[in-house]
Amino acid sequence: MVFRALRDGFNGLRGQWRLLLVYFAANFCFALLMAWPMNSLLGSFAGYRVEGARLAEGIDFEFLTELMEYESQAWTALMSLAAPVTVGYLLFSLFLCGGALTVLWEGRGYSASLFWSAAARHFGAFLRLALWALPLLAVLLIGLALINLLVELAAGGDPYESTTFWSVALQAGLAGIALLLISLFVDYGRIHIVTTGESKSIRALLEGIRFTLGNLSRTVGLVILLLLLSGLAALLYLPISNWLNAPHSLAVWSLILLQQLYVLWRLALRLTRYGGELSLFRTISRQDAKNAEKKEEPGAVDQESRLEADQPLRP
Amino acid sequence: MLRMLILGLLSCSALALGQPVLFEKPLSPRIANYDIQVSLEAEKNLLKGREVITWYNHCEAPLGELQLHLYLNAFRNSRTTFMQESGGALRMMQMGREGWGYIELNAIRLPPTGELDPLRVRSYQPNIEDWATPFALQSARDWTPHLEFIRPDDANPDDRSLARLALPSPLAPGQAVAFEIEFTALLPSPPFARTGTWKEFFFVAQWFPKVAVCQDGKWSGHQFHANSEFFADYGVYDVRMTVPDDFVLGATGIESDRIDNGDGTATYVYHAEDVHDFAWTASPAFLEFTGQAQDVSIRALVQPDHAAQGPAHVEAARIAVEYFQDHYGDYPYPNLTVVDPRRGALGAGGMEYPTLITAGTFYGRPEGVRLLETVIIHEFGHNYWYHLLASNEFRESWLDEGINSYTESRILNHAYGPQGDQLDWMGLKVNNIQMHRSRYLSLPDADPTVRRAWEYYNRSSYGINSYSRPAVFLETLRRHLGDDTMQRILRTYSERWRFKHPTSRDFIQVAVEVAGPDVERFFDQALYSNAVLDYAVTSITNRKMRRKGFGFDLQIEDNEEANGEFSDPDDPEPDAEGEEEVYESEVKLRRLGEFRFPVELEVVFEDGQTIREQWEGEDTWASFRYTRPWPVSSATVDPQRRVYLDARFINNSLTVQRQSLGVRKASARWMFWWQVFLEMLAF
Ligand SMILES: [Zn+2]
Repeated sequence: MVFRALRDGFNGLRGQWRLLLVYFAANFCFALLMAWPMNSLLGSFAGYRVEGARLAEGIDFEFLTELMEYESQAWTALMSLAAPVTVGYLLFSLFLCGGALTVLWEGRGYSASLFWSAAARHFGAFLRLALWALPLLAVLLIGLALINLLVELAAGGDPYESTTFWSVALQAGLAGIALLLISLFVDYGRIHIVTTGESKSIRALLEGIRFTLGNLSRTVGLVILLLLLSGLAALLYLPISNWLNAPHSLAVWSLILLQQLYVLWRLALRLTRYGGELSLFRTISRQDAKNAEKKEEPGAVDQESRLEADQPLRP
Repeated sequence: MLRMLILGLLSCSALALGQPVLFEKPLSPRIANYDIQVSLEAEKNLLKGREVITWYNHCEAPLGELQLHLYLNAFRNSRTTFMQESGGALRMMQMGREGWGYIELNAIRLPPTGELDPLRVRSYQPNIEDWATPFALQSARDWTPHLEFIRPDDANPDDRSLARLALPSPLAPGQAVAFEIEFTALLPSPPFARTGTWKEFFFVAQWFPKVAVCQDGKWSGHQFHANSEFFADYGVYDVRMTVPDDFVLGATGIESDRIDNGDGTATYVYHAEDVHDFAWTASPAFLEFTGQAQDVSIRALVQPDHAAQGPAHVEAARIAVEYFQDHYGDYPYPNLTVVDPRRGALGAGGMEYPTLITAGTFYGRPEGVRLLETVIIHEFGHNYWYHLLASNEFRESWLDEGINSYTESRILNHAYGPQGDQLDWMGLKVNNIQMHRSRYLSLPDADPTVRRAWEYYNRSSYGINSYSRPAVFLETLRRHLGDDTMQRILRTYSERWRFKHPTSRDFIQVAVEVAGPDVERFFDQALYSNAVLDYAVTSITNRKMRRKGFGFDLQIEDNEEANGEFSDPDDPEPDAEGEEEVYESEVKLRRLGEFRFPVELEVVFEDGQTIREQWEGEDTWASFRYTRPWPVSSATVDPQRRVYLDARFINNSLTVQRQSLGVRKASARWMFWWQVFLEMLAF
C-alpha cells in the first residue's frame, strides 16, 4: 500500500507541472531576497578584483575573513533579513499547501482559480492547525528534559563525557522522530480539513494524530521512502557538483542548472508526499468504511459510497 | 668562581645522596633551587608544604631583600589584581565559596647567623627526618615578621600575590641565601586560570612560594596578572609529593622514587634540573599512554573519557618534539608528560610547565578538528620559547606566545598541510596561520606588539599582539627570507639564548646577524609600532595610440581610464593603412598603511603576457608605465601572497574586466543553500 501510495503520489504529479512551478517560483523568489543583496555585495567587494575571478574556483578563507571584517555592516544588514525571509517563506508555503492539497485531491489538473481560492480558503485553518501543533513541540521538549533527568538519575551529576554524548545523540534522534511524527499529524490534519471541510482545527489535528498513529507503519513508511529518495538525490548531487566545480563559464552555468534541478526535485518530492498521503488517506478510509459496513447491520449508511459521493471526481 | 665551586660541590653532593644527576655539567645558572615536601589533603583541596629555597645572588648588586611570588593568592578574593583584570569575579561566583584559592605562609626561618651555607642546607634534604630541623632548629631564626606584601604594578591593597622578604644583612653578588618556608595552600575548585582541582583530579601549578627574578641590580617581581604568568630563574628542584596511594602522579622532571607510606598514602620523589618552574598533577583516574620521540620519552596521562584519544596525545607530542629537535635545537630533558584535564576542569587545560604540559579534548572529536593536536604542539613549543628561553612574559609576551604561535602553525602545516592543517571537516579546510591572520585583522592597530602585558587597550589586543600578530609577521618574514634562513634565525636564537632571559633586542640582533641588516627595520615596525601594512593597486589606465609609418610620434586615440568604473577596451586590430596600434598603459600602486615593506607587482596584458616589477614600498605611491600592442588586463601587488601581513588582500589587485563569473557562482551557491534551507524548514 505504501508503494502504491508513492506511485499515486508520482502519478498525481504528472501533468501538474504548473503546481510544481508555483512551488519552485515561491522558493526561488524567497531565496532571491537573500541572494540578490549578496550578489551586489560580492560585486562591489570583488567585482574588479582577481579575488572575484577566484570565486569561480571556490571560496577562500582569507576572502571570507576580509568580507566579514571589511563589509561587516552590509553583512549584518543581510543577515537581519534572514529571519523575516524564513518566517515569510514558512507562512507562504503554508498558504500554498491548501491549494496544492486541493488540486491533488480533486485530480482535475491545475487551474489557477481552484489553486489560489483553495489556498486562501484553507490558510486560516492551516495556520490554526500549525499553532495547535505547538503544544506538541512543548511536549517534545518536556520529553527531552525527562530523558536528561533519567540520564542524570542513572549516571549521577557527573556523567562520563561518553554518556553525555550518547544521551545527546539519543535525544537528537528521538527529537527527529518526534518532529517527523508531528509533521505527519499536521499533514493528515490538513488532509482532513481539505477532504471533509472540517472547520475546527483542533479536531482536524486530533484526526491527523488518530490517522497517523492508527496506520503508523504506512504513514511513516511513506515518509521514509521519500526521505530515501531525497537522500539519493543528495548523493547524486554531491559528486556531480564537485565535478562541475571548474572555473569556466560552461561548468559554472551547468552547476547553477544542476543546483536548480536539485531544488526542483526536492520540491517535486514535497508534492509527491502530499499526493502519496492523500492516496494513503483515501485507500485506508475506504477500507475502514468497508470494514465498518461489514460490522454494521445492512441498511446502515454506506460510508464508502458517501465518501465517493462527496468526491465524485476521483480518477 | 665561587659559584662554580659551589655548583660543582652541589652536583657531587646530589650524586652522593642518591638523587639522579641529569646533566653532569649544569645547563643553566642554577639561581633558584627548591627542596620541597608537600602533602595533599585531597578531600579538603589543601596542600601542606615546607620548602627550603637556596638562592644565589647573580644580580650584580648587594641585595637587602628577596621578592617572592605567592600566585595562588590571585584567587583569594574578588578584589585581587588578577580577578579585577580578568573579570573572573563573575566566573568565580558560579564556583561558590569553596572555589577560592590561597597560599598562607605559616613560618619563615633563616639559618643561624653565619650559616648561610647552601651546601649544608642541601645536605639535609634527602633525609626525611631532617625535614623537621633543616636548620638545626634550636638556633634557627624566625623570620616571619619580615615578610611584607608589595604591589609594584598597580598599588592594589587587596592583592597579596607578591611579597618582599627583608634579609638580615645585604647579600653580596655571588653569595647565596637559604631559608625555609612552611606554607598551606588551598587549590581553586574547579581549576580556574591554570591551576586547581575538580573532584578526584588535581592540577597543581603556581603553588609554592617562589623567588622572583632579579636583573641588573633590581628586582623585577610582578603581581599575578590576567594576561601573563611566568618569569623565573632556573634551578634544581627536589620535590616530594605525598598523595593518596591509589593516585597516579605526573610532574616536572623525572620520578626518582615512590615510597609507600603504609598509611594509605604514597610519596613520589621527583627531581628536575635546569628548569624554572615545577607543576604536578595527580588523579586516581588517569590512564597512562607512552611513546618515544627520538631521545625523549613521552607519557600521556589521559582521562577515561578520552581513552580512545590516548594514542593521539602521544602522537601529537611526538610530532612536536621531533619537529622542534630537527629545526630549533635540542630538547635537553629526557621526558615530556602530557596531561589531559578532567571533564569540568578545562580551566587547567592548554598550559605549559617545564617538561609537563596540559592539553584538553572532548569525547567524539572528529578527526579533522585538530584542537587536541594544536594545543599539544603549542604547549610543547613553550618548552622552548618560555622555558628554555626564559624571556619576560610580563613585558614582551610575543617572545613566548608569538614565536610559539608561529612555530605551531609551521608544525601543523608540516604534519597536516598543505591545506586544512587546523580544520579539515565537512569540506571546510582552514590552516592555523589563516586563523591567526583572521584574528589579527579584527583589531590590527590598537597597540604596538611590545607592551607591558596589563597595559594593552583590552584583553583582545593583548591576545592579538602576543599570539596572532607575531605569528603573521613572522610568517611574512619566512615567506620573504625563505624557510632556511627563517629556521636558522630561530635555531640560532634558541641555541644562543637558552637558559637566559633574552629580550626582543636580543632576538632582533640574532635575526640581523643571520638575515642581514634589512630585517631590523622590519622588526622595528612590527614590534614597536602599531603600523598596518596595506599595499593596493588603485588604478589601471589603457590609452590606445596609433604609430604612424616610420615616424614614432604617438597619437592618443581614446582614453580608457580604469579607475573604479571600467570600459571594455577594443581589440587592437592592425589598421588597413599599415598603421600599427599600441597601448600606453599605466598602473598605479599606493601604500595605504604606515608599514613599509618591499613588494612585487605583477602586470598581466590582454595577450596573457606577464611582467613582474619590484617596488621598495617606501613612498606613498608608485606608477608603472608600458607601451605595448595589448592593454593591461589586470595588476596584482604581491601576487604570491608573500607579504602575509598585508591587511587587505582584496585591494591587492585590480582587473579591467568585471569578474562576473566568479561573483555569479558564489551568489548562486549562496542562493542554493538558502533554497535548500528554506525547503527543509517548510512544512
Ligand atoms: Zn601559549
